[in-house]
Order: sequence, then structure tokens, then C-alpha cells
Amino acid sequence: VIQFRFLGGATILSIATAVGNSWVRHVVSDLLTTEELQGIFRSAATIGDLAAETEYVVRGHFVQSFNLQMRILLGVAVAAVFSSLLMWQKPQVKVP
Amino acid sequence: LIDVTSLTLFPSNTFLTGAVSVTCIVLIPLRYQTAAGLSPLQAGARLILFSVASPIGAILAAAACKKNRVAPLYLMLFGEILQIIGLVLATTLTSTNDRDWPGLYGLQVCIGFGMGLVVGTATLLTPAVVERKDLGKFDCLDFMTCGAVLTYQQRRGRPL
Repeated sequence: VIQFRFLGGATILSIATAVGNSWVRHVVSDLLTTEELQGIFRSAATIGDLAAETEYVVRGHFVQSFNLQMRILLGVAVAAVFSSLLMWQKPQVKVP
Repeated sequence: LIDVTSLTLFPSNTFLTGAVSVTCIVLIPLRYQTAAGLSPLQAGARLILFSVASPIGAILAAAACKKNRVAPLYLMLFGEILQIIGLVLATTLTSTNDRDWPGLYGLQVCIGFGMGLVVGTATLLTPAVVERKDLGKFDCLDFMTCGAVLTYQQRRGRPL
């Protein structure tokens, strides 16, 4: 049963990262060269090497991508509430 | 007697709660690195708040469930509602200009505490929804999975 927790973590984490990263890549691709783009996704520290203005914009886009990922998580959390409600029974389950 | 519905629904429940916890643990430091420009160590240090809040939630959940004072399901729902509040605030309050947003600390506590409640009750409920004679099988299955993964990794010559 504990393994299900990590299975869920791995599944949803991969979905969220895929969505967030591809969104950032799409938005940022006009601003940066291909090499800079690859560098950003290889290491977040390379964002600091960009020109000051571009860096500011790129970091803003990353905030928005984080919000997008949190929205996905929100959907999962709401689904978890419904999944818990399905466990409702008249004498509630008790800790043995 | 054990209800069949709770037995089948319980794994889906842990699946969904684990999804929130693991994703938060990975993505929150990543946000500090990409958006605020911190080093990985600093970003990890800022996650401490989250990782302190969740065991506190688990301890409180265990204390509240003791001697049947509160039904575990109520605690679980309460924790999930806390998570939802934290996530809603995280998505709505930040704009593009909040690169190093201090409010994220509060949300870390909110989501972490809710997560602790849910994970704590889910762990406590495991013996309730699984029959006693099956408990050993779960442990055995875990060991087999771990063993299989370990052997596979070693065969490929990759240290863990």
C-alpha cells in the first residue's frame, strides 16, 4: 500500500514536469538561442548568465509555469477528496 | 468485518495523496532555483519548513486517532481541504512579478501540515482495510520489488 504513494508521486510528478517544461520551452523559445535554451533545462544556474532583462522575463515565465503545475496538483487534490469520500461508511473505519 | 469498497478504494486514495506530496517536494525547491535564482542548497534549506510541518501533522493525526476519539476519515478530509486551500492560494496569489514570494512559506506549512494529516491517517488505516493474514504478503511483495529493482540496477553496472 505504501508503494502506491510513490507510484502516484512518480506518475503525477512526470505529468506536471512535462507540462510545465514544455510550456516554458514554448514561451521562451522566441527570446533565447537554442544553446541557451538547452542550458536552462540542463541547469537552472545558467539562467543567471543571461542578459539582465532576458533573465527577468525568463524567471517570470518560470513562476507562471510553477503556477500551472500547482493547478494540475490542485486537480489531483480535489480528486483525492472524492476518493476519500467514497470510503465513507456508516460506522466509520476505526484504527484497530 | 471489512468493507469491500474501502479495501478497493484505499490504494487509489494513497495514490492521489502521494502524488501531491512527492510533486510538492520536488517542485517547490525547483521554483526557488528557477524563479528566485537560489543555489540548490539554499532551495533545499527553504524546503525545511515543509518537511517539518508534515511530521507534525502525522503526529497530531496519530494522537487524535488514538482511542477512537476522532474517525480517521474526518482527519483525512480535513488534511485534504488544507492542501486544496494551500494550492488554490499558490495559484491565484502569485503573479509574474513575485519571483521570490515570501507567502510561499505560509503555503508550505499549510500544504505540508495537510499532507502530514493525510499520510499519517493513511498509514494508520492500513491495518484496518487489509486483513491481518494478508499483512505479511504486502511486506513480502515490497521486499520482492526492492530486490528485483536492486538486482536489475546491479546487472546494468550502475551503483545506486
